[in-house]
Order: sequence, then C-alpha cells, then structure tokens
Amino acid sequence: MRELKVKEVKSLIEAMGEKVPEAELSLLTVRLNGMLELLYQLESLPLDDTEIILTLLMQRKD
Amino acid sequence: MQNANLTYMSLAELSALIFKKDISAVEITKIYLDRIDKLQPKLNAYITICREKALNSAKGIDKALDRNIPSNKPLLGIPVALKDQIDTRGILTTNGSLALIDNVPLEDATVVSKLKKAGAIILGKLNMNEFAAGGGENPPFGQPRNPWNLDYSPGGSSSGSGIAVSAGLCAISVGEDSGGSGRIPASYCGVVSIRPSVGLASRYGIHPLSPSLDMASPFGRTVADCAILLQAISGYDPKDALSSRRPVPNYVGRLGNNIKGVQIGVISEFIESPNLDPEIRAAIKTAIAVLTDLGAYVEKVSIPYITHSMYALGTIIWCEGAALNRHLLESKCDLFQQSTCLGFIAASLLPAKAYLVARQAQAFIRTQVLESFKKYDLLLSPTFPRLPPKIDDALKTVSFPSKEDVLKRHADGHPGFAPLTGCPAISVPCGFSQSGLPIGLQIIGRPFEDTLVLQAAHAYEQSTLWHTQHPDL
Repeated sequence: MRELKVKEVKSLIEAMGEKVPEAELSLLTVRLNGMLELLYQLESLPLDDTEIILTLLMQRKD
Repeated sequence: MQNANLTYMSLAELSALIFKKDISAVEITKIYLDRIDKLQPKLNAYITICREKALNSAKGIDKALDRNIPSNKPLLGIPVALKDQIDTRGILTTNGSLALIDNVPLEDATVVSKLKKAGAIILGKLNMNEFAAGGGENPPFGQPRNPWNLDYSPGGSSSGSGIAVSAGLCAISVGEDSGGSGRIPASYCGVVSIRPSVGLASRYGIHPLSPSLDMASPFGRTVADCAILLQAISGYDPKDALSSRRPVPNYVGRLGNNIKGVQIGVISEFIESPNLDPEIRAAIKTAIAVLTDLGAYVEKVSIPYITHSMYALGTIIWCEGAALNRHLLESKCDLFQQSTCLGFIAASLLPAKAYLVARQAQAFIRTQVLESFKKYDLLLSPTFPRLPPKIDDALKTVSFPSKEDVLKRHADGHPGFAPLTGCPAISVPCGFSQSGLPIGLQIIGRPFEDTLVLQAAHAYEQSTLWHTQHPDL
C-alpha cells in the first residue's frame, strides 16, 4: 500500500490547521502511516472499499 | 507467619483473619505499605502511595469491628490499589500523564465509591501508560518492571495493577481494559484479570480512552479473588450510559460448579498461528487437556476474520482517544509524551470514514464471534501470542513503530475481539516459559455470561498450581 510522504503530511496538517513543529513531521508521518496500515488490513473484510480513505485524506490536503 | 505470606493470602483467608481479629486492618495495611516501600524502587508499580489515608481508613475499620457492626463483608479491611485512570476524591489522579499532574478529583469514580462502601482500604494509585494507550514501556512516571524478571515488560496499560497484585503490593486491584490493557499485564505478571461484559461495572469516573470499549477490570491472584472484586463493583449506575440494569448474579457462590459438558471452542486462527510462541502453544495444549479431564468438551473452531480484531480496535481507540483528549492536546500538548501527542494528532487527521470502516469491521467480527457461541458455551485462546518482551528491546520500537512493527503488534487479535464484541474475557495463569516468564490462558464467554467464564477459569485454576507460585523478590 502507498505510504504518505512527509511533505504530503505537512500540507495535510497545514490544511487541517494543526500545529506540528517541523522537526516532528517525520515522526508524525510514521505514526499516520502506521494507522493507515491498520485500515488497509481491514480491506480483506467484505466491507466498503477502504481505498476511499486515502483518497479522502488527500482531498482534505487539496 | 511471615509478612510476605500475609501479603499473598487470598481474600477469604485475609478476611477470616480480620474478622477473627487475629490481625487488625491497621496491621495488615502497614504490612502492605512496608512491602510497597521496600519494592517500589525496584518495580515502580505505584504513582501515588496513600500511606496516611490508608492507615486512617484502616483505623476506622478496626473501630467498626470493635463495635461488631460489619458482617459478611468480604472486602472489609482489604487493601486494594487502583489504576491511576480511576478518579479518587482528594487523591491525585493523573491518568498516567504529566498533563494532569495537578488533577485532584472532587468525586470518587463509582467503582471507588463501591469499594469504600464495602470497607476496602485504598493503598494508592498505580502506574500506567499515558492516557491508557500503550503496552507498559516508557510511561511518564517511570518504567514499571515485571516482578518475574525486572528486565522484562509487565505489559500495559494497567502495568501497575499486574505488578502490584503479582508482587504482593496489594491484595487486589482495579485496572482498566479497552483492548487488552488489563488481561495482557495480568498474563505477563502471572495473575488473573477479567474484562467483564460491557455494562456490568460502571465506567463513571474512569478517564475514558475509548468510551465504546473501556471497561473496569478486576485483578487478583486467584479467580475467586477476582470474582469477589467483580461482585463488589458491579451493578447499575445511572451515571454511565452503558450501564446495565440486569441483576448482578452471585459470581462467588457459583464458582464451585463443575464444568462437565461445557462446550469449549479453541480458536484455530490463534492456536495454529505461525506467530504464536511455541512455548505458549504447548502451555495452551496442556490447559486444554486439563479442561477435558474436568469434563468439558473441547474442540477447535474457526472464526475466519477474528485475526483482524486488533486492526479495527486500534483504529477505534486512537480515533476516540484523539477526539476525547482534544482539549488537553490543545492546551497542554507540551506536557504530553511526544509519541502520545503525535499519535493523537495523526488520528485527528484521519477522516471520519476511517472510524466508520473500523466500526463496520467491529460489527462484522462481532457477528462471526456471536455465531460461534451458538455452538460453544465458551471460547479459548492464549491471552497473548508472545512472551513479555525485554524492556530494552520494546523501547526501540514502542514510540514510533514502523508499519511492520505496527502490523506485528496488532497481528492475531487475541486480546481485541472480546472488547469488540462486548464479551467477558478472563486471563488466568497457565504456565511459565523456560526463561521463567508467565503465560496466560484466555477464556471468553457470551455477553453477560461472566458467571460461566469465572466458573471455568476457577475449575481450571484449582486443577493446577500456577496460582500458588509467586515471584522471588
């Protein structure tokens, strides 16, 4: 599965109005990618398509 | 009798001594407090030790006993300790965070009110991971250590509850279990803990991490002690929206019932998993033989998607935790541990759809688990698939795990499916590794069939000697 990059997370938090020091962005990215990984694992359940989550996330950024 | 023996007595034994006035409540409280003073520097089980308050309470109990007022109160004069997630009037309650270092509640949590009413003596507040989110490593109030080997993790987030009960630093303890936070430290520390059915014990006054999953979890050195504690803290509470109005059964009175003919399903996805430690697999197989000898009918059952439980549970916990602690995050983030702060921010970035998918998964897994209960009275699994990790090893990945570490940590779902389904689940000691670390057996029942869960665990425990072993401290 695709992982978010630090610069993508940076623009995402700016769009969301969150405040995270520059030095902590890469750690935040690790955290967020870990959480997304949990969601990707749920894709094998017969539920709605979880791919939409990443799309929604990126729409927030945009 | 040596003091260490007294601190390892069962509630029934201790209670008998107190009622016969062979020992006063003050004496037993002092014995526990002295042991805490001796072992706290080694184990770091407590955040706050309530020496004066505990001794004052004990004096009150002794006076009441002199007037022969109390009767039939199994917790009268019994020293208990509480996870620091649970509000205690006039006593610092940090929820494991420096952000709440000044928080002295004006009101007791309902479970604390019930314990006080039952005559229990509060020894202090126990160490835990910040906001109850974590596995026992690197909490803000110092590293708690496993009494069986100080280099190893005690598990978490109710680390102090597992340690204090195991090391004889209290008679019993109330922890909290949202996704294994009670049963995992119980398993790692070689004691018993039950996560009761949702609604049985009030959550009012217990700082929420994940309101849809949080539950108070009794800890004891035996199943009977846990049953006595559960009996004392259960019952309807209008202050908790999820509180059940069902009458509380007599858990203690029915412990002695045999388990002949009880149908037990061993979850094959867990027992056959390549991730399961071979020593744990061997211990579980031996436990199955014991249950079979007791007359239970035990066979494997497949619940295909149960392995996904922790993926759903992890998402739900972080999303709910982030939303609930938003005000603290905005006002006191500098006092948070960096990993918690960034964890909550990361969860805040997830769209609502992520939470909804996890809740859908919960409903899906719940349906599968409840379906299996049409055939089986109980389900069985290891409490956790791996032995306690070395603290130094765990610290390398605990704060900012790679996605591989995240997957490894959430693989298999043993402790996660009971909270997702609202089923009661108990962890009871079932052996030791060659390196001397405890192993836990998990028994799960249908919602509100806590009585049968306790009964089966008690029958198993009384056929073994694991509960009679204590760490050499």
